[in-house]
Amino acid sequence: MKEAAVPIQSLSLLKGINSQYYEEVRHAQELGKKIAFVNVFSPAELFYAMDIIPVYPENHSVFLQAKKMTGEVTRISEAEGYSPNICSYALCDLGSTFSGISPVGGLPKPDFLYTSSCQCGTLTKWFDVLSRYYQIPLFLLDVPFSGRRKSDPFAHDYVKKQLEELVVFLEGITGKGLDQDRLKEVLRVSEETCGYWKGVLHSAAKIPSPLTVFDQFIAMAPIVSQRGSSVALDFYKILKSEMDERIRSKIGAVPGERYRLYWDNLPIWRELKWLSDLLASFGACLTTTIYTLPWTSLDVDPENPLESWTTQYLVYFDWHLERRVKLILDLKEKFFLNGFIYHSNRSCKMLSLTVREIKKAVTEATGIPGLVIDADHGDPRFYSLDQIRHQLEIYFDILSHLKSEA
Amino acid sequence: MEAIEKIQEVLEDPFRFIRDWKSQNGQRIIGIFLPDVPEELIDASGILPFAVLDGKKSSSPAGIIPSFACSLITNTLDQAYLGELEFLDGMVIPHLCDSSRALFHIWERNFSKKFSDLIRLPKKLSSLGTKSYLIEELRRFKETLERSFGVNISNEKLWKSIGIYNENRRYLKTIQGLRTQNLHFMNNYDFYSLVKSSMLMPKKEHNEILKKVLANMETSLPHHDLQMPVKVFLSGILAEPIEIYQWMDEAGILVVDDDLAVGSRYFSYEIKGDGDALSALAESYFERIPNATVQGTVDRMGYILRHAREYDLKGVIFIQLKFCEPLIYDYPDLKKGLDREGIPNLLLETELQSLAVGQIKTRVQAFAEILRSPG
Repeated sequence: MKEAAVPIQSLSLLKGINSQYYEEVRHAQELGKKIAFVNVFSPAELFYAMDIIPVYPENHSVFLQAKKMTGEVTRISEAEGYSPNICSYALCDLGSTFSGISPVGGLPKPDFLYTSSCQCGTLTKWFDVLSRYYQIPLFLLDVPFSGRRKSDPFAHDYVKKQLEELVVFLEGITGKGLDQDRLKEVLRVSEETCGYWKGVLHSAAKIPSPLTVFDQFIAMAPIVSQRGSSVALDFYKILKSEMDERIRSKIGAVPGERYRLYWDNLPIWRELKWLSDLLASFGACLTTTIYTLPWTSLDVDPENPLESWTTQYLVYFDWHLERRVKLILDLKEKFFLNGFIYHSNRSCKMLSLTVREIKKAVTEATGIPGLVIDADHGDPRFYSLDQIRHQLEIYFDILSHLKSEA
Repeated sequence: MEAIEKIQEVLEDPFRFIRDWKSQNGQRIIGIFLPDVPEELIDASGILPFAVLDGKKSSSPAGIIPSFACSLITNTLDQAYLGELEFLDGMVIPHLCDSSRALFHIWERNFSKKFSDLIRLPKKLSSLGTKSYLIEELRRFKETLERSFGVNISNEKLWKSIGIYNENRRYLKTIQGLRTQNLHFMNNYDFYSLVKSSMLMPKKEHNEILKKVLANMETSLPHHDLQMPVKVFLSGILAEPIEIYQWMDEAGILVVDDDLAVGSRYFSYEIKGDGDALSALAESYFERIPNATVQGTVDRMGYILRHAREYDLKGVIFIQLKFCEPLIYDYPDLKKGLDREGIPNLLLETELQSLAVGQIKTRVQAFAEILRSPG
């Protein structure tokens, strides 16, 4: 009989953290705070420093999808005319917005919306719909990516100008000026929190890895939505020390760890447990992914945050094909990877249209075959568990032959 | 009409036409991915811009790009992998949406021997920094062309190209206006063939054709014995396969106005001024027809309603390219807005070179009957 996995205790804190967060969101008005719906690549610190609670419709959709409520809400958005050929986050969120159906007690009407064109074009269009629905302003930050080329000074000026306009916009919404000292303090806490997050992710470089990418997915909500607050800082401190303890005691997340795999793209949220158990049955640990990495080093200079955010938007968040290949090859060395799984995620054209090219490039560079899984991060109509299982069986068969030859 | 026949020859096989043209003229050709590429800059560098909209049907990129990319993206890669685009000396792709950005990076990686550029047109027109950004982005593109092809694009050269393009736009707009005044002047298929072919051949040559078409229209007498067509507005990016226009013709539907990239958005503006040509070019982007990849539905809605009223249109047809996210997100609110105004509307989901055309044809006919029925 197989050895049972030792669960990560600190992850059980998340339930309380998340429900407390949504509780605060619901009572924002009484607390004298404004609410902004924002995308995950946004300067959360700026919002917190101005008494604005950032709320992430993407995160809310994750809850809907993980709780297997996709069908319930997409029925509603589809009846309103939205085609299932868009991102399932958006399709779920719009259905939830129109109906109030929510696993966390619903989201209140926001005061404004903020998104940047840098994460994906989908968000701009999705937030446009919300802006019309709620009759509230949408601040769009337009980011012209340079890809492989060096970033242009004029693009830098353009993004920075818009960030300055954002501050003025926020001051108009809140009716008060930006308190620079407060922003510095929030940035300090945020930086420290990111440091712990980085430590947590890097602990997976140890053999056996004390956590899997599944654990990272589960643990990532506060780093996205609450970084800069003490809640997030305390949580990642605890999680990091548990990782240290597991490393000392050589507790692996996957007993009998045999394969250390890279995962590309978003998770398949409603199948986290299923896929995690299935991979563990092959002795496979999803060790790392670039999806959870952005919050490991945001590097915002407290003396000049707008300048840092400008560079962050233009360079750090530009996940173009060549950069992704390079990041994956770096991770292979750092995390001792011996396999690669790429999720071709029907919902995310931004990350998925280049997936097969990336796989080809990584295989050419490493000599290790990769596996592309065709699925969706949240809509079960677009994938088959049997097919995924079958693909994985074949893939591990190939990897085991490579291992025995080596 | 002889002029229209020439157009039909181009449209029948645009790649063959352009290959022949290249072998006769020896001029370079740069492929453009729709829409809104600043073609004048390419033209001013002595290179012919050519819109990649056609090609042989194949399933070759299935292993390269997933099936949920729109057919504009898939077709472009398809043709490149089939070797159908060997005549191109480069490719220019604007970052309009996530898919066009992915297309650029795949292109850059696989066809790196040739020139390629990602044009980053602004998605936000309301920032105080937008205009100067756009001017600089156009300048970057100009300098990239100059460096890559060893040419010099002077202000005078650029104005000269702008003049030729303005002339083309003016002719198309005049022809469109004549159609609106007299509904039997020119059918949809012929008109949109004129528009599309403008993106596939040298502008000077196209201007000569348009001149003849115009002269012919001005002297010919309209037919009065035909049934009056019903006037509609067409909304989307492009109507392909182009036969869709024939089915509208057969159904007695006349497209009087549109907001398509392969349509009015291509010719509805003029680039004015005299000083700095790059500034004038940038300025024109603020005056173009609302575009799903740049502005929200409020603008698109306002535009459609204003034009529908101006021309007393009976209905609106949405041509939705399958998997085109910007169009999908806009559609429900646009539909609601039209329903509120009591304007009948129809949604057609299309793909380039689609084979499932029978259904589209039937739906166009049924829509025409609804529009024609009294009350």
